[in-house]
Amino acid sequence: MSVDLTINSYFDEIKKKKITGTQCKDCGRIHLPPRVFCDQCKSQNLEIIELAGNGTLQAYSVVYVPTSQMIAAGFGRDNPNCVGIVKMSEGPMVSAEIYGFDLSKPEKITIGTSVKAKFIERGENVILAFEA
Amino acid sequence: MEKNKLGRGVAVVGAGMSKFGCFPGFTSRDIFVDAYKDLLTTVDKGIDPKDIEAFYLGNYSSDLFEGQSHLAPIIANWIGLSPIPAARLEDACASSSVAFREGMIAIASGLYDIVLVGGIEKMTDLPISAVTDTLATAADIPYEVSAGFTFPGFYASMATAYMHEYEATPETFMKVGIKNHNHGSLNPKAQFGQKISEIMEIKRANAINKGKPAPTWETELDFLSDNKSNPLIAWPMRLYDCSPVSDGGAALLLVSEELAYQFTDNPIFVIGSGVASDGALHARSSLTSIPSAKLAANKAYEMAGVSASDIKLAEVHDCFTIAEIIATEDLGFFEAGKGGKAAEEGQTSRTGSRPINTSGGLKSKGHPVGASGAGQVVEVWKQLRGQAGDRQLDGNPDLGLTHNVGGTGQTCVVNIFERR
Repeated sequence: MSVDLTINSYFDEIKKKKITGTQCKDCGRIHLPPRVFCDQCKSQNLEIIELAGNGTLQAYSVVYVPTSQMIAAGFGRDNPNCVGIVKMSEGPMVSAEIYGFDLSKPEKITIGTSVKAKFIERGENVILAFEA
Repeated sequence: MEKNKLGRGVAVVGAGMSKFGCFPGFTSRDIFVDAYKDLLTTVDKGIDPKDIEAFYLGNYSSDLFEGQSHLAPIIANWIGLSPIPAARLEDACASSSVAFREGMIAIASGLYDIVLVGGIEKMTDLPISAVTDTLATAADIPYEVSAGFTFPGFYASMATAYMHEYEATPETFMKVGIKNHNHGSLNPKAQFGQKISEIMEIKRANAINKGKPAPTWETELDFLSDNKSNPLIAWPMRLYDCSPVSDGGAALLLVSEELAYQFTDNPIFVIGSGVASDGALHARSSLTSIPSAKLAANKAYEMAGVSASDIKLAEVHDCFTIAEIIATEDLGFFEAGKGGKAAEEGQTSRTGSRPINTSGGLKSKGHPVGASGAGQVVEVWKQLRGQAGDRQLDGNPDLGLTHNVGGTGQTCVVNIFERR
């Protein structure tokens, strides 16, 4: 198999608490998660870069009826989980768990808040999350 | 280069559906029988099933919902159509609009003259957590679902982005639900045949019967703002902002333009069709619109040679109340950020200037995901033929549109229909 960058290779880096993306050498676009083909100019000429882990919250929700994966992690109606879309300081956006807000007042969570990467160890996995 | 033009005209000459709802003990095959039999009664001059040349079936996930895959030949056989070609199309909640489009292309190509298009989903056999998981597989599992997102969570995130960018509150979304329940109360095929006010009265009577204190809600907004009667699913989306889990089927008979008048004096022609695909929600240029919907709409308008202002009615993908607002903006009915206000003002009600989801929409009619797109066509077909019963629009509408989203917009299909 002549594929170096795979779905799992990104998560292997997350396990090492490193956020890797790609930058297109042709059009300059930065992708997170990393990509094999540029989604802007279709180029394969991409290089792996490391992202600093700083971003701003662009959209969020507090989830009261989670997936079974999140139920297994202890979330649910009485302990909802916050999800969000974070725009990284380098440009791309990513979906992640969000921490650091009072979830009993979801209307008070502010879009635009600065957030920082936080790595959560859960079972054998390491999850990329962000904290306000 | 793409010509964005059909090789020949295509008409819909029959359109049927089952009731949408929760039907324990009925499999998707049984439910499709109901939709197909309904279709056969709608072909004015009749159809000999022996003349049907191919079957395109939209279905999202009979594999996970029912433990049955390979559904197209199985259903084709059950309704007596073997050995015609039978293919299942899957693009999440847009599956049957994609099946419709493939059936349309097959006729436009000249390969077939008479095609059956179906949509089917049987969702209610699974417990709600398994339904949540099954629907979540339409999103990107490693990159989105593993981050804790559910489908309500995705659309709720679009809602928080929308509230941040434009003037909208949770009440804006509630008003879309109230409107679609009002519409659905006029549709005998709808899962919820009740207005919110009627649901309130039923719950009030139940509470009193059980000797509990009578609820104190006075208005529909009181009821919808009550955490007990309308629990949060994913802030700011509450239960009544979400389309239900549903069983249902729909069936459409497509024929070439040349043959259309052999089946009816009142065929409905598909004059525009567009589809586009996209990646995960987080990778998009906007979180307050669905780029694939705009692209699909522009293709459909271009093919049809019409503009948004020409459309008399639209069935749009209101899987969540925020989704209807975004849809009406993406389709060009309202400017970006103005769809919420338009809904609050009643412009999108069946008596307003821009009727949206006269069927009750996915919210009230129900959302058996693989059948929803074909179900939208059933409503537009009936409205354009003046056969929509109590919910029939005034003014003899001649142009209707369907907008069907797969996932959060990884797929969107827009089709435009005309009565000549």
